[in-house]
Amino acid sequence: MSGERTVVERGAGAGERRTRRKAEANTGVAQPPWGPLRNPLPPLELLDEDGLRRIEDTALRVLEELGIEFLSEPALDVFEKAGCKVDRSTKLVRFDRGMIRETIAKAPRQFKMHARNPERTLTIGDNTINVGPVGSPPNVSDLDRGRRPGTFEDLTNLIKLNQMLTCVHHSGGTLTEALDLPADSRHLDLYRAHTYLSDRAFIGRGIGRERILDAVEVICLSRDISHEQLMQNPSLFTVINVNSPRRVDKEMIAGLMAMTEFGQPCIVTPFTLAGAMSPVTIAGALAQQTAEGLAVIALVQLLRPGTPVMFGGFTSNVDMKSGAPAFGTPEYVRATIIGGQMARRWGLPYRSSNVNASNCVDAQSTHESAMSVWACIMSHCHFMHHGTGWLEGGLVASFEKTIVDAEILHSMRAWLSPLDVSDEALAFDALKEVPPGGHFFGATHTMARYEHAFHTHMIADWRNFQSWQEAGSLTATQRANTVWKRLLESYVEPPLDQGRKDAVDAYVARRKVEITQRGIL
Amino acid sequence: MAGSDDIVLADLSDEELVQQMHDDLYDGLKAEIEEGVHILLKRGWTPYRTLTEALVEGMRIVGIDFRDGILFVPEVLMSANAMKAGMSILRPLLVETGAPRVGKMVIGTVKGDIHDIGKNLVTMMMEGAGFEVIDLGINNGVEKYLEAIAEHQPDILGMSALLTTTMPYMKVVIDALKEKGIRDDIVVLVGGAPLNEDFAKAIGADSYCRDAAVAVETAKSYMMRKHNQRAGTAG
Ligand code: B1M
Repeated sequence: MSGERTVVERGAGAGERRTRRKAEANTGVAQPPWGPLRNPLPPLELLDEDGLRRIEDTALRVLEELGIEFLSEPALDVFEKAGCKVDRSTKLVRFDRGMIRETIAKAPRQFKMHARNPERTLTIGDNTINVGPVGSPPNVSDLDRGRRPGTFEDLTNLIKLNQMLTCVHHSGGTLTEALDLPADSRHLDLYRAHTYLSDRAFIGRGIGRERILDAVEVICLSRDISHEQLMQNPSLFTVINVNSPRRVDKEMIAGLMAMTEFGQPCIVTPFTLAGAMSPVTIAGALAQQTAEGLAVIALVQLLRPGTPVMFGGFTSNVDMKSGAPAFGTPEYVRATIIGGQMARRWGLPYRSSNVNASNCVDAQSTHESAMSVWACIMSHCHFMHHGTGWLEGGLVASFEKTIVDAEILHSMRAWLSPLDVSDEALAFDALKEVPPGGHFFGATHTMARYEHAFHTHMIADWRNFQSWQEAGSLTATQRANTVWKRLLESYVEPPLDQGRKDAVDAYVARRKVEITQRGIL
Repeated sequence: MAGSDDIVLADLSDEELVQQMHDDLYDGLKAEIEEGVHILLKRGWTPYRTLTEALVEGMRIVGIDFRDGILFVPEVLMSANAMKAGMSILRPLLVETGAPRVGKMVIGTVKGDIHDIGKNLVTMMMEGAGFEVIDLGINNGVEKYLEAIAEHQPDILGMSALLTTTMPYMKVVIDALKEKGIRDDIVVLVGGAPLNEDFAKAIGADSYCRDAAVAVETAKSYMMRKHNQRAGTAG
């Protein structure tokens, strides 16, 4: 080795490198910087035009001939005014296909989702796949303490952990239920936690009107903006599930109406579990999903034309031997991809999920999740709900699974990023430098870029068997356990102005008193 | 398949007929079960013996195979419907003859909860086991439960909740039963994915049932206790 190659600075360089790498080793994790996940490939057209048309036509027949039940008088009023056939006794609404087309066309194809940190603004549309964490499991689990009912501490830890992950774009909603807090005011603690601990946008609870109004107020106070400004800058999601088959309940409609009043986007998601809540065939379930989704999105557009809204797909199959939902199955993958085709056909942004039905972090959960993520990527789903941590069909939020999912998501983003084919990357000089039969470890070209040449993994272990064994034979799940703890240890709260914090706190305190006194609507 | 088309039920011996009825229940053949019940009654079988030996025993096998993942839900649904058809012939006769009743259950999901797939499976399995089930559907407030209890006088109240926000409502119902002074007259069984044993205890329910099969087992064991108690008092 000659003195001419002083790529590494002597003395100070070694110290700096040691400190930096040790720090990385401590957080566990060298992650790429936060940034969007984009699929440069065209979305997959799994079903041909004729097939799509047949599903769509069946959906429109459902809307025309069978109708959708809306358990809400105000919603029935809106539909009646718009010229739909409304049967007040059965609460069934039937739609003319021309009217549906015209109404849905008012929804924007794309919109921005704003967060308290402007750098975390998301594009909901085109080829951007935004990831949010798991939603609504009543339990949490980790290797140290096992499976247990969720608490507020678990909730905050999950928010912090996801905030630390650079492959997660959105802070999600109820990452786990804080069962140690009163049910009627829990949402206030949730909103406050998201506001303090994350600088990303979050999901409000769409059950009833007041929980949405509370989210609206907390966001406005935390950003010091008016309702009008919020209307111009969508900042809140909520998930509106259809109680498939063909029923939309009162509470959900109340939530949807409140969201729409403030111009905030609902993620309308029929939950069409084929065999139980839908026909046992995927085509039939998709026809139903399409009909239900369009009917609810039509309500949004009739209430306030042009309000951003998402078309959610959640079609999977059930285990016909127990009735339990199955996820990440071939049926799920197909439904997700074709659901995306249908959403594009109607010019609507699309939501799907990273889901599995395994009872622990194992080969099944990883396999089913990988299948789900692939489906999300190939369908260009614009919001991947439950992107990290979902286990047991949604009954558990797992800390280790959060890391396994992040590993999958980071890898996806890495391979989808543009391949460098510049002269430097083509490396002709390196090829020239290394003689036949030589190696590239010490080549100038390698020395200049080895550290960041390849995607870094968080939990993959590539040592040989003996070294791995000597280090304790840790499985990927055990290594994920170390990683989430390191990430939590190195968590730093994103800065938020004290005055705004005080305003949020005062609001939350006042509302809690109100709710204790007279309950929640 | 039992190939029941080729079989003339009336030509079979009692033993063969009962065996055939087990198969017909397994295959969910409603008309055949109705016919079998009529034949046994005509041959002088008591309604209670017909119920226990031909129907309940047949459904016990169905229950085992459902639990073990051999049968599919729609198959069990067919079996349960066949059982229900047999039961509707026997029920008035059982009352007339003073036979111990299998049991009656009122079930529904609690206020604010619309998850009903699990509750429907429980209903199906309970009916399959010969219980009379009054299904209140979804989203039931206290009044609905109380009215149904007053009207139907069930042995068991079943409540289902899938949401952590609606689970506490089960306690509201149980407290109302206490207030009315009828808590001890009825067995309260609760179920739903987010529940557990501890929760059931904390709210004052009698048992938590993790799935439909356990619900049936639990209900049966409470009915057995009830009959034994009655026998005890009578003696
Ligand atoms: C004697 O009495 C007894 C005895 C035994 C009993 C019993 C009674 N009841 C049940 N059992 C037992 O026996 C049954 C058979 O073996 C078993 O029943 P199970 O019900 O457990 O099992 C069934 C066979 C299969 N399981 C199911 O059917 C439930 C599956 C999951 C995925 C689920 C579904 C399907 C639905 N959902 Co809902 N949903 C989830 C569920 C997550 C999960 N994996 O459980 C859960 C429960 N949902 C949740 C949520 C959040 C919601 N859901 C909602 C809506 C729906 C659908 C309508 C879309 C649909 C239900 C359709 C229907 N007709 O039932 C909304 C609320 C609606 C409402 N007001 O109730 C909404 C709020 C979502 C929204 N934003 O709209 C979560 C609950 C979180 C919480 N706070 O507790 C959830 C855990 C999923 C999640 N992670 O988001 C046993 O528990």
